[in-house]
Amino acid sequence: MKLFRPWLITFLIAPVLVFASETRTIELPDGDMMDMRVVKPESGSANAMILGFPCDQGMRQVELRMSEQIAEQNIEVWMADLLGSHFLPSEASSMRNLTGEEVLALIEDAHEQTGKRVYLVTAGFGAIPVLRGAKEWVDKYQGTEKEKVVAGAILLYPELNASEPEPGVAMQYMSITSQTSIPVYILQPENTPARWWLDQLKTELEKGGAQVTIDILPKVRGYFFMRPNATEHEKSVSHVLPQIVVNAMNQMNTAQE
Amino acid sequence: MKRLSALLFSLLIALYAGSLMAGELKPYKGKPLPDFSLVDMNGKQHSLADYKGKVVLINFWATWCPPCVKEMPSMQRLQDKFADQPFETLAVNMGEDKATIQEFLDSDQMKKTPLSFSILLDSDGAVLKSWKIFAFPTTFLIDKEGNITHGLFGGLEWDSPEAVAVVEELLAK
Repeated sequence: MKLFRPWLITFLIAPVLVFASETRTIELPDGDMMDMRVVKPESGSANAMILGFPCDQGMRQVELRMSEQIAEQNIEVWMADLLGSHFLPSEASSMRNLTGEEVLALIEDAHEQTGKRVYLVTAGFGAIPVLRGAKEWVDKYQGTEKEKVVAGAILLYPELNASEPEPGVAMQYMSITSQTSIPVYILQPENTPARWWLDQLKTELEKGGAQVTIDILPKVRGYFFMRPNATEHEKSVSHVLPQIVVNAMNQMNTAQE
Repeated sequence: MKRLSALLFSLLIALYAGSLMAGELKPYKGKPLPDFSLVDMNGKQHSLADYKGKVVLINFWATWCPPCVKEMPSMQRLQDKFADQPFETLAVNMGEDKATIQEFLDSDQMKKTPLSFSILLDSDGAVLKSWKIFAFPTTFLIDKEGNITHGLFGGLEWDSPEAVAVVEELLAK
């Protein structure tokens, strides 16, 4: 049993860890405190970082694990749970009601601390506050060097509909959809009704000037990386999802060079 | 702790799926939708106009959608209940190939309640778009005159007394 003393585990694991993680607490504009999970590569890092937000289902181990896998590729990742920090219920309406103020504050803090360009990453209804925050950044720093600090948003199955679907009734998007000007990279699972409407979503996003790239993830469903009933294929795609996000980031970086 | 988190998340997903299953047939609010022509699993062409004079249940589904799969046996029981009346069920599959659908139909879970109604193939999503389908399952009820009377997003127990009463009312008109 002595073999399993904690110091020994630390010793055994230490050589393979290529990142360090810490909790950073910041004060939000409304006075609430928010804990950020900061995962830094041990040996230097790229000049761009990821500011990640869980979807409307809240922060779970899977997002934290993915942030570590991304950090292993020398990319610094900050993760913030927008709903959890306010004890808001895990549902779409909570995300719809969030302004972009908090995301703006987090971008400010992340850029101030690291000096890096920021890629925003989220899933589902998380796209709403994330795009709102990005717009607030662009509005605030338009025409300055800081305008391009927000390098883009990588959105997994973005849910930008303004209300729940009604049979036979055209979808209305949240107004932020057509007010977005930062580059957007959509990772859309094939097995979702929304994949049939990507051309409409792209058109709506482009109205605000956003450059939109769409990548279909074959044979997976929405929320695939957190489904208890995930198929074997969904599990295998979940394993490579951090790499898919990094590839999207690299592609957006190259396009902007 | 990890196991507890997994359990809680499973419960959340179950509640979410449950909320999708708690659909309710409501009067249709949208505009009239266009006729369509689609082939079924046997290659037979179906046009909605062919069904004038019948009450039609049109269901949009996919094999990967759990609430869609869950409601299918009850849809078959509803079809069986009105087998001798002018009532027809059409299940429009969204974008999957015939082999995938056939594998689903041959699966153990579907062997318990084999489906006798037509499964139509909307391979390129054209009908999904013209009928403005944004979520699965989505189902419509159409009266004998070809008017859409009810719509529903989410699953339903189609042989429940409430759903049967709506179909009976449409058949009586």
